[in-house]
Amino acid sequence: MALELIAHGAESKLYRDGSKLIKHRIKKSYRIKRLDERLRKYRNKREVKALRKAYNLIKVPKVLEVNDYKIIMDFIDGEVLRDVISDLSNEEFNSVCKKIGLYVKALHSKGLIHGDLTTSNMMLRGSELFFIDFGLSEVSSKVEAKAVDLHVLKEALNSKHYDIAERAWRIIRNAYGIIEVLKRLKVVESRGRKKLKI
Amino acid sequence: MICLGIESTAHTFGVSVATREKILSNVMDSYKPKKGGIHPREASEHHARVCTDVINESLSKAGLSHKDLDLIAFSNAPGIGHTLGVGAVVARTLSKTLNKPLIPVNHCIAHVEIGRKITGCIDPVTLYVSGANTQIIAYQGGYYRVFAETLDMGAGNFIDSFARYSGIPFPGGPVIEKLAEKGGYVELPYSVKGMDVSFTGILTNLRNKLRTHELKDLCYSMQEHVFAMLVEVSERALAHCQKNELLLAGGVASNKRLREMCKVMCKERGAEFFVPKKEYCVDNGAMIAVLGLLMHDAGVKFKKSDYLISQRQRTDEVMVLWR
Repeated sequence: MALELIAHGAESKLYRDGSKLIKHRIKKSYRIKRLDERLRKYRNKREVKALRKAYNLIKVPKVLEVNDYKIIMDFIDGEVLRDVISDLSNEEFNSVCKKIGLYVKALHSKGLIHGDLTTSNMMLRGSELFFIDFGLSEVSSKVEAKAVDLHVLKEALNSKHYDIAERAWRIIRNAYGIIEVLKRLKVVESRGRKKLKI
Repeated sequence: MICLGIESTAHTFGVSVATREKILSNVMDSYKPKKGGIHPREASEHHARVCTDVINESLSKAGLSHKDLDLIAFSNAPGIGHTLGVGAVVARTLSKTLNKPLIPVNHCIAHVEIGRKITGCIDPVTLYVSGANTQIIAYQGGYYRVFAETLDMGAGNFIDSFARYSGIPFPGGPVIEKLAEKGGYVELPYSVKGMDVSFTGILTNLRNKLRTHELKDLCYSMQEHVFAMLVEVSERALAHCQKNELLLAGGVASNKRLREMCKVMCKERGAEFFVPKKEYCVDNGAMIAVLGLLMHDAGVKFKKSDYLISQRQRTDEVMVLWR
């Protein structure tokens, strides 16, 4: 059966096989072999672990099969949020942002850090929101790790969706609502490089 | 239209004369500390000492005199306060005495613009790696936006710090590159957080390993780990922004291994890779002149406060009217 290449991300190629999705972490020739294999194996393992854990908390694709560099999971027949977020109606937009906040809260409450929260790593199927790509995830109960996770999300919104970022962030923050982490986020942001400080 | 560009954000005092069509001269004189890193006061004293000579040499190489200049551009941000001040005073003096317009220029954006001009790329994702800065910059919606950045120190600073701990004088990059050629693999931390990178953990790790490992192996492994991190986030940015040109800029862009890794990544992705020659990668006056001309032609208007230096101005604070 012919596999259909549906996406070429930064570290993997995604193939569709009927109702399944095959995520293949491809070799990167720019890295030396030992480092390349170490990273691919480690991230693959980490992603499987995180996907399985997250499956009970929020909507993520279900993991079906795993080997060293491949994960076979449910195919989500939806659209990448990055491409559609600007076309959503007001109501849909509010609902999606609220879900993002609640999802992140659910993950963080169980000590799961996504590590790469961008709109490229979220999918929308109808009104259902899925988080994907847990390759950079980690398990940590540290407030700092959670704050950096939020920081990544905020920066991604500001850079890619600058026109709606502020509105989106307000809803996400309110839905997220873990005061301790939001306080730490301010500290992360004030650390010199990121903001003008006089 | 002839523009004089003055660069003085850090250890290099650079002056260039350029027209819209051509860079006529690009002269620089860099401060070299006797030990340790850049000492701000010493660096600014160096700049004050060499500035007239560098300007005169730049003009004479271009075959022009002060009277031929139509425009003075200078880097007003971001950088070391002491050294920025020298460039600003020199630029203001020239502008005042020659009665020509003065253009304040953002240093980071100048790196991107000279890259575009020299290499001919159109809408690149820029991996800008220098001493103090490590950013991935792409143009979107009227601004150069920062898609990825170091969370702590710049890659160049990191390399120089490692060099200092190993007893290699500033700037350490070239010596480390040489040593790395004969080194072997040692496992180090690999620190990518989303699109951002961080270096301090690796620095501590390397410092501890100095006692137990050979320097050449650490140099090799440091390069392999750190550059792989930079190339990885560049690739992420290419995928995220859906662009297919990568431009490499900044002092660390002189490193051959980093260039090679970028090239291989782009080839595997089907993207195009661009890097200007070394003289335009490091801090230089030509990039300031080039951006000065672009801003002048776009009719950018300045408030009085825009002419002041700003150590911390962010790349994405500057409205881009010339694209």
